Amino acid sequence: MEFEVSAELVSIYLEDAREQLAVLDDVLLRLEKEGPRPDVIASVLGPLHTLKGNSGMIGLGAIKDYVHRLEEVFGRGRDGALTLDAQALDCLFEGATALRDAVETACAPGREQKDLGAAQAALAAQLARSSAPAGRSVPAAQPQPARAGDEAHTDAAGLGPARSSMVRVDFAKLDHLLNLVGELIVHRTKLNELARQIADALPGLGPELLEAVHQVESASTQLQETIMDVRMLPVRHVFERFPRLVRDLAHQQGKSVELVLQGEDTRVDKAVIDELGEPLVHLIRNAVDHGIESPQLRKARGKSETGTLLLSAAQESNQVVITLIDDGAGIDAASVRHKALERGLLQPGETLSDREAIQLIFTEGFSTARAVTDVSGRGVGLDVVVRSMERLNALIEAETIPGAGTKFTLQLPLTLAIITVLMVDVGDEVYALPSGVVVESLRYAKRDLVRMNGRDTLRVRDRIVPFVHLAELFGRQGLERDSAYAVIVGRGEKRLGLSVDRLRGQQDVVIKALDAVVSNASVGIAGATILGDGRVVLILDVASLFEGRRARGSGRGRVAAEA
Amino acid sequence: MLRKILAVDDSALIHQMYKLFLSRYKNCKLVSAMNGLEALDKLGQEENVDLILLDINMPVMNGLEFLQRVQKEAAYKDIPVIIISTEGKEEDTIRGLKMGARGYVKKPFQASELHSLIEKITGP
Repeated sequence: MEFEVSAELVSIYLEDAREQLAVLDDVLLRLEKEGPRPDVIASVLGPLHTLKGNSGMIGLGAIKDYVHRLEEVFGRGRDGALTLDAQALDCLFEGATALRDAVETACAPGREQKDLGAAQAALAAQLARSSAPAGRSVPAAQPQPARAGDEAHTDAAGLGPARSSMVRVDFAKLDHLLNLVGELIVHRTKLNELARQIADALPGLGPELLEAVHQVESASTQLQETIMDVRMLPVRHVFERFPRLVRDLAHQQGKSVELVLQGEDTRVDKAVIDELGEPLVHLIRNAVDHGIESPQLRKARGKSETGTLLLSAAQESNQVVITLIDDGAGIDAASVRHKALERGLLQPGETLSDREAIQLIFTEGFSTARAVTDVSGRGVGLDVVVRSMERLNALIEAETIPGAGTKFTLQLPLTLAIITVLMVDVGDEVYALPSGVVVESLRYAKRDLVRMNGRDTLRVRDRIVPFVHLAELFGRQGLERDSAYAVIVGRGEKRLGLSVDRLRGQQDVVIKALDAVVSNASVGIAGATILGDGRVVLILDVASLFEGRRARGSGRGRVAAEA
Repeated sequence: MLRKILAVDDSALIHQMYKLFLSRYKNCKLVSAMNGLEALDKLGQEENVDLILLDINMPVMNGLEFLQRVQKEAAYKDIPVIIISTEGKEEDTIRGLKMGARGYVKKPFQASELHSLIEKITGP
């Protein structure tokens, strides 16, 4: 190469390649469903051709050669010289997986170029089945008008003319921009405060100063909203790979499953999108593995042989709710209880409603076959999902009707950059709790506390909840009163009560990523926020409270600014 | 001399590469279009385009159709066109050359190949 293939070039290549590979997957799925329609086959040729050209340009010879072969196979499929039957499609599905793998590996830091020889040979075998000679000759002599529709790209996917008005921006720059806005907002609050004081002292200048501050305030609010909006992407980016996943999982297990997607246009912050893929893959895997029954069993139960998975997304105020519903076997609460007892996750005397018992599936150590790798597609512990949900400040819940199916509901924040917190007083300090983990808050009297195994617990309706006195935890003096407030927080199925002296209400705070300045030394602290008067408010790390760990030390320190 | 080059390709990567490859020319203005239709628009907006780098396989309007339109317009038909072709589409390249394109480069191309062809057509 006469030039250096920079990281920027690689990332542009990768982004395009992912789009092209998504078209490939989509076309394969359609061919499998609708039969070898020439128009569907033709729609993949354009993206493949571009992928081939791009791969060659950045020196990925093996990928270029493989895509060239793919083009040949599809080209002959379109012309009817090769029938894209189940055997051919299986080979193409495998090839698409190998290709994706090769592209991702080649673009990863090691820039390792995978050998696609085996996949290449498999394609050659398919080509050998075709009836046309290798070099399809085309009368090149007469200039022909270009065939409209020939190798048409998927214009519907937004590759139309509008694209050139788009600018590619490194996401890190958007992060930086948002951080700057976060800072601006902290200072704005301070400025506001000062302006009010000055206006009181200098009545002459007051109105003008306040007006100017107000202008700054409104412009910075708009700036923040605009930047938040720029960071939003449709959940389609996560959802689009699932039809392929479901197809592969169902094939592996001899099941028939249809995935229905809804609300793919719902927009979420890119940082949330990036975190969302893994937990959803686990849940979908779980639904196909354990939820949907085999066709025989479904038939015997009077259901259609094809199971249905419905994955939908919708925005509800400042949250996105994602649900995954399967019409499978459901979860049997009695066997969950039994298993939880066996594994010591449930104490013999503990009583749980069916609905509460079901949530035990999210507990660490619940799944039986956790060690099995994802190659077999079985036994992935759902606690992995819970951990992802924690990183997202999200809640997850399962509902099930035995024999009819299961519904998982994920409540996610629209963005990780702004979180809604509940402000509480503990002694003379103010703390914040991410609203996503707050289940409820209530008033309690000292006599409601029950001492069990040397720990305070609080009875909340029919449930006994472990209780933590925040004042003690932080080594501060709580107000000595007979009654106070308890904030009940949740993690998976677990609940924990926190004593506070006063509830101050909810507030949105802009999170500004910082190096681990705050978190390492502090007790169960996820970050901080700054009030208008400049006072720093610590945000509690609820996960660490559950684990009884005093410090998290994970370098996830964040400082948030009041919004 | 000042060169104004219109690059037509549906790949963002290729546009980035043109930017990289053409940065050696001090007086070079690069105009980008993602397909033939957009390229016609750009021709209407920009004056004195010296050279067109043209991909063939593009959505909306492909390179050959674009070339045909350009050849029909008195104002544009003398602008030299270089076809950027890809393996497996040789017949399209031949067609383009017959329609009046001045030369072609095959992807993957090296910077030097592009430079020598550009200089051959527009002068050093």
